[in-house]
Amino acid sequence: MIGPGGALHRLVLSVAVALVAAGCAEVPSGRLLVTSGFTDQVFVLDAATGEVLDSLWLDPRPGERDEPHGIAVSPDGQHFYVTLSHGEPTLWKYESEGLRLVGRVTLPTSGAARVRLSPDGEMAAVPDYWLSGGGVNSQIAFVNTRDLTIHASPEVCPAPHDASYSPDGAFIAVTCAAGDQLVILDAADLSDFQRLSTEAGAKPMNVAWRDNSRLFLTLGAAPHVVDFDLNNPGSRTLLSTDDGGAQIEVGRDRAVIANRGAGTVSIVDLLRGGTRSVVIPGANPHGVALSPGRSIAYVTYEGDTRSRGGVVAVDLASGDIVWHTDVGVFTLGVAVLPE
Amino acid sequence: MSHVPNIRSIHRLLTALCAGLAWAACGGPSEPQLPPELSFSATVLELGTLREGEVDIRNSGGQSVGPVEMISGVVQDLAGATVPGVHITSDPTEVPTLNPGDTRTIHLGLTNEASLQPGFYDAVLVASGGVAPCDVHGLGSCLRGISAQVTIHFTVLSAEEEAAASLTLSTSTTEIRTGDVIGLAVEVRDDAGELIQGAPVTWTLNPATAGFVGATGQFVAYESGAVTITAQVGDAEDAVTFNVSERGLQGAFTTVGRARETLRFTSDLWLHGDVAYSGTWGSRQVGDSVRFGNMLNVWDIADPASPALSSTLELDARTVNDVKVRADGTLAIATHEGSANGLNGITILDLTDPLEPEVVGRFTDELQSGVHNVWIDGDYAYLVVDGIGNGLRILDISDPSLPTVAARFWAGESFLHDVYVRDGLAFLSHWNAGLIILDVGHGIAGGTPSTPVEVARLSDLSGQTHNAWYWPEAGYVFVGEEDFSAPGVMHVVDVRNLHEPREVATYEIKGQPPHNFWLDESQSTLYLAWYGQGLRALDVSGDLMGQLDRQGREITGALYNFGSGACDRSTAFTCSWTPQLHQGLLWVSDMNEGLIALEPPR
Repeated sequence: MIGPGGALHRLVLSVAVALVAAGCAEVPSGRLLVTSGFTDQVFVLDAATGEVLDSLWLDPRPGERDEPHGIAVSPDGQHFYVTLSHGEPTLWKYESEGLRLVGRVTLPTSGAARVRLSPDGEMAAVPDYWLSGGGVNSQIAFVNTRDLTIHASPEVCPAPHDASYSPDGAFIAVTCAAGDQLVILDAADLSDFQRLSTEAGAKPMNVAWRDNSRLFLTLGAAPHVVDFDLNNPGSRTLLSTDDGGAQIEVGRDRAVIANRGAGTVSIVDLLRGGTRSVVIPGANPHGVALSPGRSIAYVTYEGDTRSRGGVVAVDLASGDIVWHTDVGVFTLGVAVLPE
Repeated sequence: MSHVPNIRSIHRLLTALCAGLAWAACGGPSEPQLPPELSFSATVLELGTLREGEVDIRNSGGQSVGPVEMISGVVQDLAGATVPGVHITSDPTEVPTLNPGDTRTIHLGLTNEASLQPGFYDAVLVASGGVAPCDVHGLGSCLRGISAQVTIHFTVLSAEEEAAASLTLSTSTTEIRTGDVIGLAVEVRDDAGELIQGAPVTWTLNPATAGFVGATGQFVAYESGAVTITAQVGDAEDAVTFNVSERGLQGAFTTVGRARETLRFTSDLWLHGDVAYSGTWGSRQVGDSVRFGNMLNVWDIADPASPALSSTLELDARTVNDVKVRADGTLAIATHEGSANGLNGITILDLTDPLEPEVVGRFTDELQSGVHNVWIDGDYAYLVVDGIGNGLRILDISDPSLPTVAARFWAGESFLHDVYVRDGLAFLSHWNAGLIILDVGHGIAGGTPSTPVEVARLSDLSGQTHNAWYWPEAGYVFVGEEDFSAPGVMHVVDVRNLHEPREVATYEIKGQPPHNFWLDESQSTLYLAWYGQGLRALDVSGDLMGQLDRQGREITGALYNFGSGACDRSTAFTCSWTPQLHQGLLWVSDMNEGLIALEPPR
């Protein structure tokens, strides 16, 4: 359901994309939302400058660490959703204007990793990244975003980390970190459509759809990304990147991968081929989000037990770091909140 | 932070452009929406003799609100005395969100009604929604901004009244102190002088607020002075007047020494011999730098007045939440959470030189989600593994260099928070699943460390069951409820029948939940670390019943570093984590300061 705000959002996006397409450099705008897993916060940053504007506390147990992990903005830009991984896992709903909490639901899972929204924004998918499950199948929680009721929670595979809708909303790609699989669910009834195997021990982590049938998969324990074509499930292409792929986003002609293991971001040129590697000035790169014009990548880094996490903005054309801000501890998810 | 030159001005230009587009698209500013407003379908719900009911919660405002938490208050009798162990339950306990005009039905129930005497009772249910006004550093109460409440009335009737002709009330003494639990013997006879067994008695106190009579005919006084108790069955009644004196406890903590850690937050502690071990927690900003809970501090406390940091051990963790030393002093275990390599687990330490622990090894199998607490009992380590579905791992550490998983236990719901092992029993503080007792060698249920057997479970402790201390001689378990919303209390659970644990008493301090405890069994004194409320010394001698905080049982309390009563982690004020009585001194780990040694009250 896209309201007037959604129409406006699309208009602004169109203007931004058109500007870039016309050869104008995109001016970063709007706000960034990043999750700080070890301080139980979401920070709000100025996407243009990296300045920290605000912070939210997601802290049902002030004496414990609850780990805000995934974050996603609704297609109409009016709400955003955050997962809490620890304790009894929860999904939180906020209004973008005023950053007001308007809901929270306890998920029927052991944990919670990323949150992904259906293209119409009506459904949120939260995988149960339960690494301690000993190989048992874990669930994906599907939540109606309007009233935060649980729609379904099918058991899909061991330790799913990402569950991403295809652009047309027909499929959901689920990465099985402990199962070396990519599972494609039919979004209509959440049944299996395809199960695609990856190399043993590669640890599938995140996906990004290139179109309605092609998608990229990052591997936490391998130095490449897998390019799958659902119309030709037997074939796959490997794109060389650096080691330990975490999140990935795909723009019009580039894929951007945060390499947690290598401490870099890979920018893959999908038209001409070739990969540029950019060293991130922080430990353990994790999350990726693209600017509305898709010319800037915002990349979070977790930090480690001696250093803070943070965010960098990377110009995808030049590979230059536009700005860099240390913010949060165990900084994980990132999403763009457009103007 | 580095910036691209002039990017702000370009940004402002685009922002202005978008604002103009927005104005054009929307036809100017929209009407302001009314704020959310919560209301129950009734302000008073008369259950009568029913033990369940329903009430609707509605958002009659113009904006969404959520989550809406259902917070049930204590059950009180007509005199306002809290009845321990009896609670109003709500289903759901939390409504995720209420959009404008939305209504949800809340189902209410009553637990453990067998603990109630005939009479009239009430309780309050609060629906609390909106944003919790917790600040950045605070560990204070986090009640939400928008609320509604309904008062629930219910009645417990006497069983059909017997043909009682006479009633005699007797007691062993009428000279008592506040907090003493006194048995009341009631003898009811019919016209023929025959004894009537089990006649339901109605009790009346004068003054009404002077104490509490339990279901088994025991009385505990809350106020000093003359208190008259009347027992009634039908038309027959009798009364006893007690002369209640103050409990008369006094004493004070005296600070002896301090082991200061101000670069990091301090978590748990354990002392053995002349050495104290303390963990570190989370992230602490001091000036421009941030330090993480990646250190285990080792303190030489041979001179408690001047503890000295002997060594530090850096671990791959952002929190070393707990550390324990085996009773023989040869081995310690430190826990990992938030490790950079994602494996967490535990580090086992050789204490041949207790001031310079040597790492034996790190064990991470099945512990990757993090280990929050640990207990060592001989050749077994009981590990609390973070997360739902994980629960307890019992490790065989007979070869510390090669630990093996001996057993696993999870309650089937919620997550484990802490474990305490004694006399072959493991007491699991299992958050919203409550207190669980496992036989791990006691014999009551045939359990062993490699085959633990559940003996009993007490789910009805209001949730957020955080920690427990078992006192076998008295037959009590002291249980902490770490609820920052309500906030939580200390529950006293009677386990004299291990198969049927039951809550008999509570102790609360307004505004904060408790944290960890230590019991001086020789003195019957329970020491409670209570976050921003500091340390409390509580007399737990004799039988325990009712509200201990109204009985003059608190010997003393200490805000050794002052403070407002809330744990403010941006300051140096009091924020007590765990006490431990050691070699005659009470040591407390304080999040903001490190370790403090105090002379306990005598």
